[in-house]
Amino acid sequence: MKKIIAGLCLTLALSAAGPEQGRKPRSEIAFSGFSWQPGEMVEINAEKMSLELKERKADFTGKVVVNKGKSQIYCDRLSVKYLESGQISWLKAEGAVKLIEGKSFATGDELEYEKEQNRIWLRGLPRLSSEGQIVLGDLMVFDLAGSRLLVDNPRLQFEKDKNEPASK
Amino acid sequence: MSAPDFKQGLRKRKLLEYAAAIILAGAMVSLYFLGRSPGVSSEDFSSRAGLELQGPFAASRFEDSELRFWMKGDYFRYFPERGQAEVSEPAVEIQSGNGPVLVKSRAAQYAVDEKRIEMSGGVEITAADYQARTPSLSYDVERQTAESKETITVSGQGLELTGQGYFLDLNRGHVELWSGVKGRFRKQI
Repeated sequence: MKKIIAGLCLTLALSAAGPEQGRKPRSEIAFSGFSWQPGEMVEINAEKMSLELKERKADFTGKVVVNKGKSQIYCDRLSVKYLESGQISWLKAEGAVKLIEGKSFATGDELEYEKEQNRIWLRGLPRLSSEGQIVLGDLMVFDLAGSRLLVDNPRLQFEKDKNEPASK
Repeated sequence: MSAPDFKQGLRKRKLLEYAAAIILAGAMVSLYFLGRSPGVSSEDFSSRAGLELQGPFAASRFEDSELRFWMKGDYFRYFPERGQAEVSEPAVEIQSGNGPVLVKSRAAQYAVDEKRIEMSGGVEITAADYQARTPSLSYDVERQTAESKETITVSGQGLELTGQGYFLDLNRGHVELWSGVKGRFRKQI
């Protein structure tokens, strides 16, 4: 039942946003799948790394895994800029990007995070799977502060619940 | 066999045993001297230091009137035959493009002609807000670069990085970790 309501909310939000004249349709969806809570340590594992001390920029390559709280990012290459305090101000993951938190799973070619805007951009055939719903689009913007997801040119798919009995 | 024959047999056997022992000893002595070929030297250079400074000392290297580095330590020995200096408890301050870099360790060997310093034993590198720890380091004086296949931990400005094998360009402030990288950024606000 909960899933049906969530699915309805998503459908309503998508249809309410509607396409604007001369612009790609953009939909706004209530989404809190990726929390990125404050106070969390960020751990990064990779095969190789290079660091520019002056720029405070680190580039990780090869089987990169980012752990932040309950979230994980998997990718081929990762660039991180950090402040003097050690806070990550900017992050860019490239190549077979996967972002996972709980039952939410997003994939794309490129993921970018900006601390100032507290947003995550997912580009390159972005795809979000959450609670049996699949959202596809040209660009996905996760507004972490507002728990919203903005999708350019959205398409929606519903996955059949494995526990649901097959319809006759 | 009669009694005299038996005694003679015993004497012969003893003689053979003595001869065998003498031949064996001779062979061992010959092998010992053969093993000491002219190319292999076992000279003790430690007793042939051209310059030896016991107790705390300080030294510096200038190139084109510019200070490249200064070094202090507890014990200094210079071997002219090898063009090498040995220093215990060294602390080297390198003037890099990013300000001074201090490198400390238990021991160091400075190959004067190669302009290379090999440091080993609890190597600590301090540059601005960053600190690095590694078991050994090979420093190229001209290029101002350091590298090793050993593990390194770099910490500072809220981050901690470890990896196996590294390259440091002190002039550019550039760090490379070659494998098994683990990074940790402090708690995010």
